[in-house]
Amino acid sequence: MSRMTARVLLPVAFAAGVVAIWYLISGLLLSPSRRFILPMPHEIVVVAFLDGNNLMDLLRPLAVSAGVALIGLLIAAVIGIVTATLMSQARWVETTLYPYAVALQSVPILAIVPLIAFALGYGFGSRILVVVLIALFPIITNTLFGLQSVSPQMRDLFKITHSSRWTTLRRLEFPAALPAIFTGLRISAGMAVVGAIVADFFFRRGQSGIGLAIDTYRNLLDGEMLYGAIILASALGLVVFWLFGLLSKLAVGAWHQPDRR
Amino acid sequence: MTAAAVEFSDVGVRFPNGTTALSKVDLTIQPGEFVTLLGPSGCGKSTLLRLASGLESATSGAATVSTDRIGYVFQEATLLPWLTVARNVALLAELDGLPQREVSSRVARTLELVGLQDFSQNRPHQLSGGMRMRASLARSLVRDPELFLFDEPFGALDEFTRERLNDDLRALWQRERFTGVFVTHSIAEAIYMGTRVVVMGAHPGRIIREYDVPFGAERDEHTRYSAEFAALSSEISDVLKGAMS
Ligand SMILES: Nc1ncnc2c1ncn2[C@@H]1O[C@H](COP(=O)(O)OP(=O)(O)O)[C@@H](O)[C@H]1O
Ligand SMILES: [Mg+2]
Repeated sequence: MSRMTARVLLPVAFAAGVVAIWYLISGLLLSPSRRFILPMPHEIVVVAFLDGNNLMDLLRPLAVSAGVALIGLLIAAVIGIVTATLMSQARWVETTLYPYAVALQSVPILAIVPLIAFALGYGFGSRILVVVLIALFPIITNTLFGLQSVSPQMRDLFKITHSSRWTTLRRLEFPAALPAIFTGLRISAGMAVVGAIVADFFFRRGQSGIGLAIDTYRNLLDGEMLYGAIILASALGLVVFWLFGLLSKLAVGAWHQPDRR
Repeated sequence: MTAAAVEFSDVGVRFPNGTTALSKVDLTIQPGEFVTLLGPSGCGKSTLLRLASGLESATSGAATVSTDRIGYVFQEATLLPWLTVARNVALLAELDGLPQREVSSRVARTLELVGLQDFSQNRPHQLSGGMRMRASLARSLVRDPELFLFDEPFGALDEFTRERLNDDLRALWQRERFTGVFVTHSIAEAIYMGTRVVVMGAHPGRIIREYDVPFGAERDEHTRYSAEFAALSSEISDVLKGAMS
């Protein structure tokens, strides 16, 4: 068996094994009245994905959450890149702000929910703020790392030509930082999806997101729809991660090969 | 008499952390000279180049450099990986604010001078180490430098590539008539390349001796194997050993 086939076959075999065990548990161990805990896989597909109305009931909140994640990510990207750039330009800005950027990362979102609700209410704005708070840190650190990765000798060449800070930033530091910025965006994108779903649980006003849908189906003991919602939410995370990988490849793939030197 | 290209008198450089990188350096370099610097690591060779380029300033004595048109090549090619070879070579001319037409014609001419005209649209990672170094030379050459500083430029290359680049750089120097200051760890390279060899010592970094190289413009492998070359090499080698002990 060649290595390529192994790379495809082994994960597929693993998935098949998991589904088989799933059927065993669902069909043999669970009584029909308790089957909502783990519905049969084909029933999830039939109920949640093949029924048009049900599918729309899942896709609508999924789109809302995707929108929240995207808007929050964009805001975090702007704030994060600007902050990191300021940090790279003046040491004192870095010294002043970096501890708070680190602290931000360890703030338990759960603990500040009341605070956010107090400031922005229980709607859309609060959900976006949660996403921003969660997505900000990786963007700041990766951008800063990228901006500071420029070789001192390249900086010297820019100094010899008496280039301004702005020129040095635009023509040297920023392009050099692009691969790292994309790495940060990719990490943050995954976290933004998680943030949007978590925020649904707390901030329920306005159009409901997929997190609220998950909570609702849990309350209704609707196993098929619950699993359908969870699968779609996971798929959203995967798609977003993959999308940012693709974006990165398009933007810097011509000169930056992560696996090469 | 024309002004010296570089004039250091009684120059010292002391870093804020207390390291004395250079002490009592007297060095005058006339336009068109090609001075090579030899010395143990840490003796201030790079600091001396940085001083000549204005990146560092003297903390004592007087360092005067007659021009602002400076070329600088480092041991690593340090090309920008996101730019093509042509765009890398254009970079400093653009930063100098030259009009785009002038930049283009200079880039074309410079690429030809270093033999990279067929690789102008390649990215640095597609080139060999020797070709990257040529691109790095071209990047500074495009400014038409009056003073060209080289900090162990060929130290990371294999011997064959290094000797070819030595000959090509000598040809460039004779053609373009810049003033060269060239740091190397190799005694043979210092003699082969230089019109004058300056030997430095450490603790503190200083100039120990200078040698006028007795060979003219025409140099080739026969020069390297001549008795005169061997005699000068062994003399410099003794002085260097003395400086290190
Ligand atoms: N920015 C700096 N701050 C403090 N010490 C430095 C700095 N740059 C160089 N030095 C020290 O100055 C001495 C000379 O350095 P350098 O000019 O790089 O030597 P060389 O190029 O001959 O190896 C070394 O001891 C080095 O550690
Ligand atoms: Mg050095």
